[in-house]
Amino acid sequence: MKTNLNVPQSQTVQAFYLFFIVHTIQIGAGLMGVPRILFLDAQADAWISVAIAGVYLHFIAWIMIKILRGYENADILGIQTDLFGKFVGKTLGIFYLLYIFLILLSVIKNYIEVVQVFIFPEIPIWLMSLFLLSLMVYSVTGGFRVVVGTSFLFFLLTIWLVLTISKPITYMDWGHFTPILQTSWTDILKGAQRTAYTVLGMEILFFVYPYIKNKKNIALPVHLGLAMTTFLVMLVTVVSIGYFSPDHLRETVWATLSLFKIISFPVIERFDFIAVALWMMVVLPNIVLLCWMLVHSLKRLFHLKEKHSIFGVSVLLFIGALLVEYRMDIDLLTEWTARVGFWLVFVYPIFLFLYMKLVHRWRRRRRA
Amino acid sequence: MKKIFLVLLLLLVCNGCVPKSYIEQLGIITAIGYDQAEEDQVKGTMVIFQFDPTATASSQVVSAVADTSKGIRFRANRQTSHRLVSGQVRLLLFENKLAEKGVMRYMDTLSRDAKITDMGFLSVSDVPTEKLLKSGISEDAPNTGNYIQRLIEKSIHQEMIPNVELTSFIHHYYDVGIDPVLPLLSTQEEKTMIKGLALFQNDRFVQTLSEEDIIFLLLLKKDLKDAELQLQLPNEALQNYYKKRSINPATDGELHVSLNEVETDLSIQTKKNDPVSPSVHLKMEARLLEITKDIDLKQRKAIRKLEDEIAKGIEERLSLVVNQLKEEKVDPVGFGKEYNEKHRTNRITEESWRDQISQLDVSFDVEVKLLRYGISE
Repeated sequence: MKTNLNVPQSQTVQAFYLFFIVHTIQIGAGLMGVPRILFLDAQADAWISVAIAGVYLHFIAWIMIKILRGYENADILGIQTDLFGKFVGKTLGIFYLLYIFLILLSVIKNYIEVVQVFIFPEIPIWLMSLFLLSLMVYSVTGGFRVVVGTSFLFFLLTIWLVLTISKPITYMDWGHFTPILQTSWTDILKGAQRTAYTVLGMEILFFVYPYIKNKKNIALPVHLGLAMTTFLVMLVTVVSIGYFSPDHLRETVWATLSLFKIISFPVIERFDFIAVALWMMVVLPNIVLLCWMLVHSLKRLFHLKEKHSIFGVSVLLFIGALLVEYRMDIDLLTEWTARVGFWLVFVYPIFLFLYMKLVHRWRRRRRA
Repeated sequence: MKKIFLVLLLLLVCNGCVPKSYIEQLGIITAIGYDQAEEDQVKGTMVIFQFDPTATASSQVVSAVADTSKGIRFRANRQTSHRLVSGQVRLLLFENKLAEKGVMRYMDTLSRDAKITDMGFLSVSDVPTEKLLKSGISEDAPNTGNYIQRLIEKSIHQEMIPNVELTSFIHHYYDVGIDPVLPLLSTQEEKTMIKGLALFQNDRFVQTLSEEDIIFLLLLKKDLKDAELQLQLPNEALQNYYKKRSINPATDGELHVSLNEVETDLSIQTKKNDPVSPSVHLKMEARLLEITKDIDLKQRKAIRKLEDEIAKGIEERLSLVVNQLKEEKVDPVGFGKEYNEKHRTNRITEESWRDQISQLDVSFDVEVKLLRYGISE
């Protein structure tokens, strides 16, 4: 496997789109339930957890960009084989593959579960997964530019949902936050760690880097995208803590979606139905980008043809979606994905960076 | 061509997969009442709205007895040709006997079911809810359930009762140091009216707050914007300021004042380590609407005196209301919550607060400003 990629000009995109790529792959299934997850650990101080997690995100992004800048035009798979040799590099690559598959499956399962609970209890799982997977196959076969276009378009189509949160804000009880810092710092940090599932996906930077035309300018859009993500997670967490009573929030599985329950317009009495349906557009860029990462890695690691691997991946996802039936199993899947993701995305890059510096220095010395 | 064919095929296939709901075949439940039935069972009465192009009376009321609230819907389904759906439930009534045992077991299904809106109103009734919903007196609303819903909605809007939406009930139920309240409905010559406020211990209805006292509880609960207030003052409180030349000379009758456009600014202070002695500071601006004695309002002193008397009167009424709350060990004001929000030490818990309520020693400080008094002086 070559370390650096030769990407044809027709497949590259401007660095500006990284904002949408990074932001839309992060925001998705996790955001629906994140307030409760954080609250279970960090109580009313969950917003501090989000702030800590947000700062940490920027740090990791900075590390990632440093790693990528150490090479000319490489992705994580190439970098790993370059640093660790062929065998270990490929094994780590397969780790990434499995992890991306897990997160992809958990996103699909979580969304289908929400649709079944909120709108159509009778809708069969196979049908919903078929819908999502057919859209996924359709955009991924279009190539990288179509994938980026999907994330750009669906970001613009759904971002206005943020404005509807103004109504729950009027119901907020600011007393729920005071006195601040009742939770111990360990619990707050634990809460920050629990944000992982919601903000997973920024590792896509490791994969799309060779496809960026003006590599000098990638820092700004990436950090803006992360800031946007942090802002949204912060917003729903703060509003949920104010809106729900502590014990109520502990029992509310999808707090973000439950916030939509009190929004109503003269023509639409129950806005939550619309919100859940629209959430498909939030989840779709997730699925498409993750699938692209899978297909891209399969091609890099095993030289599989894209067309074949897309269909292979969809069939596997379809089977996976049918096999995981119980809510408990979905939660377990999500939790494991979050755990693996935490180490792989938020800890591993630091080691990789230090190791890379070491290896590069050693090589330079040997050359000299 | 092939693509278009594929799209059409998909459209056809997918159409059959999601169950359809024809509006003519649906019975849309708009109000539910729960009554105590025998042997721990519950009797549910549902007001059902249906879209029938031929009929003029488009609602009907169905009752059924079951063990659970979803069981009621299940049973009631056998009494109607329409499929009953609960996506539009706007009103939930509980008979007082049932509410005394706790309403949360019925609430669970409401908050668990994503189909039910959080904006429905809750109420307690001291007559069987079946009687209320079947009474048929509904002014211009399509049915009685709808009438009651409008009545409550209007009362909340006019600041006659606190907000009693499902979301705020659940909010107050779960919060530590505050208890929920609901309006208490009753009938007067068959017609439904709001009789008072039902005070809750957690989710159990324990006592009624009389209609005249509701406004004083409201004063303690939140900042009001445009409320009305009636007050009786000591008969001779203002005798120095009676008009000298009056067509309607001051008589021996009682002194009543009526205020409207009442705007309040409430602050509750709590002391460290002492959750049971909060002090309430209430600033109030109002317009004098009615006074039963002929007072010379041109004198600044008369207004001052009147303001002081009103403030004193309000303080008395507030402490009476708080005494009633103490007797029943309920805290709809949220004194305990207020303490917990400000202090880190000696925090109260759900259990400890219930016993501490009776030791409450609230001090009041009311400031009244009568800014306007109509077009006569």
